[in-house]
Amino acid sequence: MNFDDIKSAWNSEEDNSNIIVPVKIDSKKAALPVDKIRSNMRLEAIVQVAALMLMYFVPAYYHFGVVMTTAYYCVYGIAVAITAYYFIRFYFFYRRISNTELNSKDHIYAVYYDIKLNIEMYRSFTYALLMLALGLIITAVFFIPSADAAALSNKPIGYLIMVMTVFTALIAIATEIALHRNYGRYLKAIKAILDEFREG
Amino acid sequence: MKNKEQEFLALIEANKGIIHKISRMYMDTQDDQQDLFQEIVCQLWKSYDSFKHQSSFSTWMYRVALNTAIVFLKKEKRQLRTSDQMPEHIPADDPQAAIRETQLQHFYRAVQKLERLEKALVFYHLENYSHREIAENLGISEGNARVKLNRAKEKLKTLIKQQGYEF
Repeated sequence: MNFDDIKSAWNSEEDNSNIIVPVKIDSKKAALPVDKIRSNMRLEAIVQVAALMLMYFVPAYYHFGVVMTTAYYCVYGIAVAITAYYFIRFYFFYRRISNTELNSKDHIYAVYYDIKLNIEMYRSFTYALLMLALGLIITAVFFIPSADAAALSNKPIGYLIMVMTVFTALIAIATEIALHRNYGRYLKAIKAILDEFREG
Repeated sequence: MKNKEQEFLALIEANKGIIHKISRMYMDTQDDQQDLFQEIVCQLWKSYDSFKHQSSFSTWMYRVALNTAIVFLKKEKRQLRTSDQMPEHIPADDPQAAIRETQLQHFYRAVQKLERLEKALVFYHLENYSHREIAENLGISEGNARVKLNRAKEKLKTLIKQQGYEF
């Protein structure tokens, strides 16, 4: 056998009778990395909106005082604005379907950088919300008079620094795990394909 | 909309053989091949609005189908399954057809072990594309296409020989 034989066998492979073309197109079957990421994004968006809605009722549920409620809703307003900004960005990413008509290298580059950009957006979104949460905690502990806050603010400064550091570290670890689970593994797979296109 | 879908499905029906070949090159089990076939049809449909009729349907289809196959992910539950068997039927009544079918089965078995880009190169080569056309469709330089195609052919030759088939 040689390549001409393969070519000839390839060209004469005409028995298509057993290939069934769907009578209707089921677009839900999509299983490309970008499609999987899009489905993760849909889920995340629902969870985030639900979380924001629930957070609205926190002051009433915990019977916050007037000052704490005001501080909370100031921070909440900023959180909503930040979320809205990132949702718009995520939405554009979501809509920008990777163009499968580009040449293969450009197509894979587009997929790769879209995923990478989305990871960075997700990361900055999480840290922006984290900073707000830390700001709210600091405000509650140091600037709003209450029995609990007074008890906390009497703790040694080293203790508070440690609590904040651990809290931040836990959020950062959770974020990185979520990013790896939802995006990182696809990015790695796409990167491996991209490497195949290198010269030489 | 219905008419457009019917027109599209008629085009797919006419070109299903080539989509099947791509699926067979990229996936080793029949289940995965069917999934990829469906995925390619789905991606072609998604892009169908932007098909400008400036190129032939098949040229446009090759590009979308290969781009889909290159980044397609197997279903995770099936990832550990590999298929080294020789499936499909071998026609007993036509010796020439039987030889061709055996050659194709050795080819498809060997091609599974190539990288994703190498499969695309071999596909275009079998479809009689020139190095320049292959390079254009894949987005690499002509020289790179030539070097990588030669390398892929060498690899394929070794793999087929390893299967005990004369090459």
